[in-house]
Parts: sequence; C-alpha cells; structure tokens
Amino acid sequence: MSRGLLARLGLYAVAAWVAITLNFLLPRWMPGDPASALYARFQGRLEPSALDALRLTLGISDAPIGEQYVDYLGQLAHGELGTSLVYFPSPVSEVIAGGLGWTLFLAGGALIVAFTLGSTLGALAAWRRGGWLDSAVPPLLSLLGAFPYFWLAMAASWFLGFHLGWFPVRHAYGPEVQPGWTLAFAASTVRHAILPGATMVAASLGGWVLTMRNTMMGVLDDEPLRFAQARGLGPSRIFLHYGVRNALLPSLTSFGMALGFVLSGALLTEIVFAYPGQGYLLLQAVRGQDYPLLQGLFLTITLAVLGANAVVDVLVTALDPRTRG
Amino acid sequence: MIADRRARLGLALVLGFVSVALLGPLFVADPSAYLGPPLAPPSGDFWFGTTGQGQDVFAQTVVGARSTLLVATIVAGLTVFIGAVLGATAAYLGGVVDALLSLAVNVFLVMPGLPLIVVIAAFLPPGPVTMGVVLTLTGWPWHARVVRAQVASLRSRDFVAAAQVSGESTWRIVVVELLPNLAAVLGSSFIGALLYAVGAQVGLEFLGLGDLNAVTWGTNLYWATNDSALLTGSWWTFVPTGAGIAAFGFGLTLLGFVLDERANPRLAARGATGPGPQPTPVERADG
Amino acid sequence: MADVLLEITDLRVRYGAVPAVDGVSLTVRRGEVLGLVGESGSGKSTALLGALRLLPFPGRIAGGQVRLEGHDLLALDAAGMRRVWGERVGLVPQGALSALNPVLTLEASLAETFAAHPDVPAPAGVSLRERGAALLRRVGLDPANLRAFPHQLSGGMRQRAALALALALDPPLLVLDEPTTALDVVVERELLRRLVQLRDEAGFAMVFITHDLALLREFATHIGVFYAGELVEVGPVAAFADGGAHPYTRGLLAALPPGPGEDRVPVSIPGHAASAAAPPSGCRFHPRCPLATARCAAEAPIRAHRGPDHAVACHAVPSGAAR
Repeated sequence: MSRGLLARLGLYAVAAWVAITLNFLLPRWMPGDPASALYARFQGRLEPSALDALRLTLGISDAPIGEQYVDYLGQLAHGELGTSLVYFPSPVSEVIAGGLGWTLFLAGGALIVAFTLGSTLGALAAWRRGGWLDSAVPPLLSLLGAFPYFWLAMAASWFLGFHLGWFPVRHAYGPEVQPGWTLAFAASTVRHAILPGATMVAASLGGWVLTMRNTMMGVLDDEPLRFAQARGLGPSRIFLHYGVRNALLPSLTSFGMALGFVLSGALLTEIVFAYPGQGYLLLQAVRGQDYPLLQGLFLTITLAVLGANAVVDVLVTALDPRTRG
Repeated sequence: MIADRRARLGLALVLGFVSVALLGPLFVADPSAYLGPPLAPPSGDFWFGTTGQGQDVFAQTVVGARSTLLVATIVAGLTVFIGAVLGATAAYLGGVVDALLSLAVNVFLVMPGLPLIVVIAAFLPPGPVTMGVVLTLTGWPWHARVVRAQVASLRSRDFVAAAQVSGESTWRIVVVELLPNLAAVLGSSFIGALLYAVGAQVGLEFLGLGDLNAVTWGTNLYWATNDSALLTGSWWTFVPTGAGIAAFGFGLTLLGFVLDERANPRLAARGATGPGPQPTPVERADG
Repeated sequence: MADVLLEITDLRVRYGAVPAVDGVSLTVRRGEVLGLVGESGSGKSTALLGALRLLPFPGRIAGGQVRLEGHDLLALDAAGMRRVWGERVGLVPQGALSALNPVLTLEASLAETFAAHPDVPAPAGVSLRERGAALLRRVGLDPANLRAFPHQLSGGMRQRAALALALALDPPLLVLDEPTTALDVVVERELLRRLVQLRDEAGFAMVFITHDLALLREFATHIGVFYAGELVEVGPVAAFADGGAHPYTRGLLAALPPGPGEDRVPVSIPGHAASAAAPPSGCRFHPRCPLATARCAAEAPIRAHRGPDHAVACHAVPSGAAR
C-alpha cells in the first residue's frame, strides 16, 4: 500500500475520532446548558427508562468526564446511540437504519448519474474547447447550480409534480403498494425517485462538468499527450487513453472530496419530497428537538461519508499504476 | 477585467442585489404585517403576491436580501480572514505548527458540512449570531488550505528571503510582503465564502434552525413549505426568493470564473478549436 | 536535390501575436546530423516544432515554406499530418522523461503507435511482442521492460523508451528536442553513442536541439546557431572547428569551459540575450557584439555564404563564397 493512501486513510481515522468526540462534547459544552433545559422539558412526559437514556445521550451525569467518555465509547462500539424522542420508544440506531437504505438508493444513485454524465460532458467540453458545448453548457449549469438544491426540488415538485402531474411529489413509494420484492413496488419506488433524483443531478451536474473540464484541460496540455500527437495517434485514442483516462483519476479524488457537500444538498432535497431518508429524519429531529436522533444522524452521516471517501481513495489507488508500486 | 462580458454581468448582478439589500427596505411595506388575503397571486397591489399569512412577498424578498446578505458578508469576511491568517502562519512557520494545522484543516474538509452545522446550530439559541458563529467555525478551513498553498509557494521566492536576511520580523513579512501578493487568491476565496455563507444559511433556516420571526431568504422558503405552497400551487411564495438567491449566486460564480482564469491562464478561453490537439495553424497572408 | 529531406524556407512563427522565429531557412539531407544551438528562448525548438506543425497553442506559423521529402507540410490537414508524424518524422520531445503515458506499459504504448499507422506494414511473421522487443533492444533496453510502467523506469531508461517510440516506424528523420538536458553526463554519453550507432544502422537523419555547443562539435555533421529568433550561422561542423565565424558563435565557444589540453579562461558574452518578441534594431546581436559598428545598429545583415553550405549573417564577416 502506498504512503499516500495510508496517510489519507489515517486522516479519515482522525476525522472519525474528531466527529465521535465532538458528538460527545457538544451537549456538555454548549452555553446555557441546553441539555438540562431539554431534560426538564421532557421530565414527566417520558418513562423513567427513556429519561435515563436521554440523560446518557445528553451527558447529564455527575461522573468525571473521563469516565463518561469511556462509557460513551463503549456504548458506541455496541451501536448504541440512545433512544429517539420523536419516534419514542424506538432506539436511534433503528430509526436511522430505517432511512439509510432510502438515502443510499436516492442520493447514491443521483450522485453516480451526475458524476458520470457530468464527467462525460466536461471531457467533451475540454476536448472541443471553445465549441458550443464548452461555451454554452458550463454557464447554463452554473446558473442551475446557483439555486439551492432544495429550491430546485420545490420548483420541480410544484411544476412537474403538482402543476403537470407527471410525477408523484411525496414519499418513496405509493400507498397502493406494499414494500417487498415485487415488480409493482420496484416500479413505484423508481417513479417516486425520478423527480428528487433529477433535481439532485441538475443541481450538482455543473460542478462535475467544471471539475472534469478543468482537469482535462490540464491533461490536454501535458507532455504525454504532446508525445502521442507527435507519434501520429488518432483523436479517439488520444481522447480516451490520454485525456479521459488521466483526467479521471484526479476527478475521482475530487469526487470523494465533494461527497459530503453533495450529500448535504441531497438531505435537504429529501425534505422537500418527504422522502423517508436521512434528510427527512434530520428535519424531524430538528423540529422535535430530538437531540439523540440528531446526534445519531450526525455521526452516521459523517462516518458514512468518511467511509465512502476511503473506498474512493482505495479505488483511485488501484486504478493508478504509479501507486500500485 | 471589466472588458469581460461575464465579469460585467456578474458585477451587475452582485452590485444590484447589494443595492437592493441596502436601500430596498426603505421603499417597501412591512414584510411581517398581515396586509392582504392569504396566498393571493401576484397583482397590482401585491407584485409578488402574498404568503399563507397574507404578508407581501415582494417586501419579504427585498427585506430578506438585507439580512441574508449582511450575515453572509460578515461570515465571508471572517472566514477568509481567519483562514488567511492561519494558512499563512502555518506555511510561513512550517514544522509542527504547519503539520497540526494542516491536519485540522483536512479533518474539517473531509467531514460533510451540513450535518455538522446542523448539530452545532441545534444546541445554540436560534438567531443571526448563532448563524454567524456556526458558519464561521465550519467555513474557514478551505481558505486556510488555499492560502497555505499559495504562501508556501511565495515563501520560496526571492523577495521573502531578502526580507528575512534584512532582519524583518516574521509578522511584518507575513503582513507586508505576503498578504498583498495573495490578493487574487483572497478575492477568489471571498467569492467562494459568500456563496457558501448564503447557501448554508438558507439551508439551515429552511430546516428551521434560524430565527423564524426574522425575515430572511431562508425563513421565506421555510414558511413557504410550511404553508404548503407546493400543495396549493402558490409558486409565487418561493419563486422570487429562490430566483434572488440564484441570481446573486450566479453573479458571484461568474466573477469567480474570471478570477480563476486570471490566476490559471490554462483555463482561459481560446476561441473555437478543433477536437483535441490540432496541427499548428498556418496563417496564409495571401488567403 | 534528391537527398534533401527537410527544407525550411523563411519560416516565421509566432506565439499569439508575439514573434518567436523570424525568417529561418535550413536544409537537412539524408543521413545528416544537424545540431541546433542557442540560448533558451532563441527559437531553436520553436522553429523545428513549428515546421513540423507540433507547436502547441498559442503557436502559429506566420509565413514561409516547409517541405519534408518534397511534401508541403504547411498545406496538410490534420489527418495528413498524423500520417507524417511518427511515420516520416520521429520526435523525442523535450521533457521526454515525463512524456510517456503513466497508465500504459511500454508494450501498450508501442502497440498503440503501430496501430495508429496501419499503412506501415508489420514485418511478416513477427508478433507485436517480438516487434516491441526488437525495438527495445535497438535502443539498448532489456525487452523485459515491455511490461513496465514508466514510473518503474529510471530517467535514462525512460529516455530510451521515448526514443524507441519515436523510432517505432523507422522514420527517415528523427528530431530530438534537448534530449540530454535532464540526464547526467554518463547517461548522456551513453545515449549519444547509442544514437550514432542507430543512425549508422538505420541511416536516418537527425536534428538535435541543445544548448551544448561542445557536444555538437563532437557529434553533429552540421551546426546551426540561433539568436533571438534568427539563424545567425549554419554550416558543416568543420566550419566551427576554429570557433565559427559569427561573433555570437565565437562568444558561445569562448564561454565554454576549456577542454583537456586547452589553456584559456572561459569568457561569457556580456549583457542579456535579446528576445525575438522585441528585438534590437539592425543586427539583433549588436548590443552585445564586440565588433559592432554604427551600421550594425541600423541595418540587419543578410545571410551570406562564406563557403559551401556555410552561411553567416554578420556585417563584420566578409562573404567568402569564392574561397
């Protein structure tokens, strides 16, 4: 394994530790002791066992902070994230697991479509620089990208969903189907995913086009390409094996870096479509001041993004003969 | 730079919204007052229609710009300043300071932004101060990274060595010699920071983590969804604010393009060329 | 003349609107080794790459003629140039160490080069691998390196791999753009020895671009000296044995460290190299020239023959065509 990859993986480990520790410290550090205020608010409305769980998550304890930290890490190691208040008495881990699949399906799918489509457009724009694709598409997509994700979602939901009635505008599947491995259910989920997915793609496409276009322009000025030209190689060979192939690696790296950013937008899009993923849970947690759920979501999403970054880095390393050693 | 068509359009959009934010609120109705029937479509009385509570959408859009752009400008200034100072210091001192700071920057950069700011904001009382603090806390690392890279490359140049040999203090060199050389990078960073601050602010408020009694672009959109604008077809409650955010953001993006191309001429337009590398063109004087 | 391979006449090249090469004419015959020398920015690479239509943006050819084996290169379209590149002329680019595609093995790079020229028939009964192995052996590389990626090779090996790629289709002309700049002296000598041997075997002509005039005196058959976008002196290597004729050439030689048995102190040329973008009036070398007169500042000298094939552009050097 290369040193560069090891350093990156080490970075993700440190970031994971920072996120875990931040999650521990936040309720204990915040001014005005929001934890006690919240605890007081729920006292008498919750069963004693739920109150205990809440105490633990919020860090209301007389034990020394070091001891609390060790307890907290132990709980975390067992996947114990406390009890949700909004979805009481479900444990936070269960609530989050219920939404994780939907987010992976919707945001993951949209991300892959946007990256593939955007990189292709970006590579073609750089190849014919100054052509119509290069002059018209990036500004157009930047204009689209200037709208907040969730606003595009609102506009799409109103116009294509409500006004024209082409697509369902809420939820992940229709009331007429039962979840299960049936064709009807699959068709319904796809129908419900098109509109939110398309707005995510529309909002993020410009970024991928620009990233690929700019990397590709650098690669197209590089020595290997000039040498390929001097040997009389044809344009399609140069485009694929000198342009795209060599621009894709840095582009994939920035794919990892942009993951968190794009996911943030995807979460807000879910909210608009009442799509039952992590974003929708986030909204419920914020509205219901469900701190255990909020913290659980923060941890899960952060760790998932870090994990995805690690996978992308391993992939990039495997694709690059220079780092294979 | 002004000769560039994109730069002119970008500057016009940005300055246009800045003037609306500064002067507009003097000329419009009270954005919070219940003035008309709820969810009335645009008309002569209410140019952009009314909200679910009968408030004037035009007034809300104009007044919302003031609060959103004010917070965004302050946040952008702070994040770039903090990022520049930390980044320049790290690059200049090198060694352990640089290593630790780079680690901190990278850790923040790989963490997804929204969940982090949401969880911090949720523990603080809602309002513009919370908003500013949270966005500044999470926004500086990118600029620290960019400035660090730039200073590290400037540092190796002759004029810094000359200043060091002549016995100038470290701080003096950073402030007097290095910062002016960073102008283009800082300009580009400031544009990026404004975009981030507007986007994140609006997103947080849309989630309900802002002061819901204030009139900002984010709360406008929050109330539009809450009042079921989508299910009643009241497009006018969210279209003006969204268009405002997009036009301002697009203006900034255009300015950013121009700045980036100045810093990196390889990206600049060349006029139409054939696909890929072409043979060196031949000018024929006689046609 | 049947043995003329490359003929450049009055070539002018610009970068955007900025002149870089101004009225350069030179001829390369089959089997010759023409060394082009000059300071950085003197236009030696630009002239050759421009003539071969390989100069990247914003380079453009502003005038002149280029003929390779009788074909007008400046009249060819992109497809026509692709058949010339690799097939009729091989180029070892400047920065050849980073010129190989990092994600391709040498074998893949060779294979794509062959595949790009289907009109050049492969030797009958020879597999692709054997063809590649033979090429690597020719440039002095172990055929086992066919499976290697560029980063697994040393600088000298990458240089040879680039040479193998440039020679893959046996072009009659090989252009080497500062091939030894990044190499240490030992590797440089090895490469030159190999090049001479290859030329003796295959009979191609070479244009060797460098700033090392001492090297050229050992190795080239002809030398051309560039200054500020112009070719100020060109001739057979013998004409440079006593130091050349142009004051700039003489200055370059005087600036070289003395060889073994030589008793002199190196003297550098005063002042800075002039630029082709904003050249001095008259003779472009006159501000630095020890022989300059008022005429030199006013009037550009015309290149005049001083002997067979030996031409000099200098007012102070009498044209001695009759000699």
